[in-house]
Amino acid sequence: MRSYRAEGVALLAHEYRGTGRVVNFFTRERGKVEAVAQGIGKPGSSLAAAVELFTHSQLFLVEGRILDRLTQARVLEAFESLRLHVRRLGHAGFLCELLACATEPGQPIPTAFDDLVIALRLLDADHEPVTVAAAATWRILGDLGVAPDLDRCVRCGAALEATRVFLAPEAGSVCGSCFTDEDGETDASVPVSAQLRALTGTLGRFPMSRLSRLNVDTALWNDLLRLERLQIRYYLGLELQSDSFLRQLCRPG
Amino acid sequence: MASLPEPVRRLIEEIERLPGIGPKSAQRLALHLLQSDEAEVEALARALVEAKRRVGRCRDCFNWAVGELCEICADSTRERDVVCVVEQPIDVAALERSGEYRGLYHVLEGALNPVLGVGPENLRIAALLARIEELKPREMILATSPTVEGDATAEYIRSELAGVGELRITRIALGLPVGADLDYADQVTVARALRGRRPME
Repeated sequence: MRSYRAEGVALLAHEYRGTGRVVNFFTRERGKVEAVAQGIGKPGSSLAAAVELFTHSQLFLVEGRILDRLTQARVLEAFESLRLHVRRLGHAGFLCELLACATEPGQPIPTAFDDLVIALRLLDADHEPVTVAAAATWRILGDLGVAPDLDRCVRCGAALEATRVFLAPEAGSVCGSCFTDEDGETDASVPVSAQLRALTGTLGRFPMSRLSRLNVDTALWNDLLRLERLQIRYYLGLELQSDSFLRQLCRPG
Repeated sequence: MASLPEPVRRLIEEIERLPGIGPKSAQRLALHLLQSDEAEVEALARALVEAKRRVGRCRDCFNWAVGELCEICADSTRERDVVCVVEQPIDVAALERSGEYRGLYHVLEGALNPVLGVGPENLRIAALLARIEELKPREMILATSPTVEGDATAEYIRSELAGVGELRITRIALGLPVGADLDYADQVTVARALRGRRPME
């Protein structure tokens, strides 16, 4: 069995034979890695901190036939303040679940890994969660090659200057000539303003770490987040559990 | 498997459905049961069926109970002005083993987990708030696990109950386990142990 090291973030975990856990890590070197960590539930386990959700660690693993085995770990960033803010935790969960569901094991996407770590760092440092989640999701969708095209009409192919609306079932936007009244009335559409198109263009080339320098209206971030969620649901076919978690937090007591 | 009689195959299949039991373990357990006395096997079967039929959830605290109330809620000698909040009934058993606590419990039946979609509505949080309102305890101990999920759950409950009357909200201490070697502890645990230090009496 070959051993290797990787830098990874714990995306999700479930129990395995009593005190063990099967953990999905998203690593810079190997993409998604599924590994068993034994004895995690016992007091004094030296691996327990590294398999905590969203923790960024240096991992030492041994390849296995079905699952790899975590043998040693060193926590790089525990993002401890996420535990104290349930909304931030929900948005962190959304990003992690997206990567857990939309990537395959053994496919490294270093840019997505870097975007995730920076997003967790920003959420941990009290940046506005909707802003961080919307920006990071857009970049991650781009890293995965599934960001919607807002520059060309999905129906006639014309270059768009004033896009009317993004249509999730068609995974694209329509121009003014192709737009019908019905398109504006569906729950699966988001109005795409010139500002929103400009924002997505900026996010593609703007470093995530400098996100706080962007001066963008909250409503625009919310539009972007809605567009991304529709793209994830319709294009990737994913219903993310963290979405239902976030919806519960929004409902009045 | 085809060489095994049908009842044995079925027994192995049923045992294999239990969490943490793989095919090899299931075969070993099935073989053990087949080689045991009939009386022993019958006692096990009766215990399984009886536990499933008779054990439910306590009306007040959601701990395991035979009948409407669990043994702790029904015990009039327990202190009723302290409520300890835990994730699962098994945590009640762990705290009872310590012999340090004589108050009541409240079992949440889980912890917040965004990735699994477990939100406040999926836990017994609304029932806890109602119970705190009714019991008006002087203290509530948040004894959820020191994991991301357990800490987030404790913090969520704290924020929901902040400013409720004279209620003192406490969190179980976090840090190094008894007998642990400091050198082998991870940095997060050591950092928490340092933050949670207290004056020596």
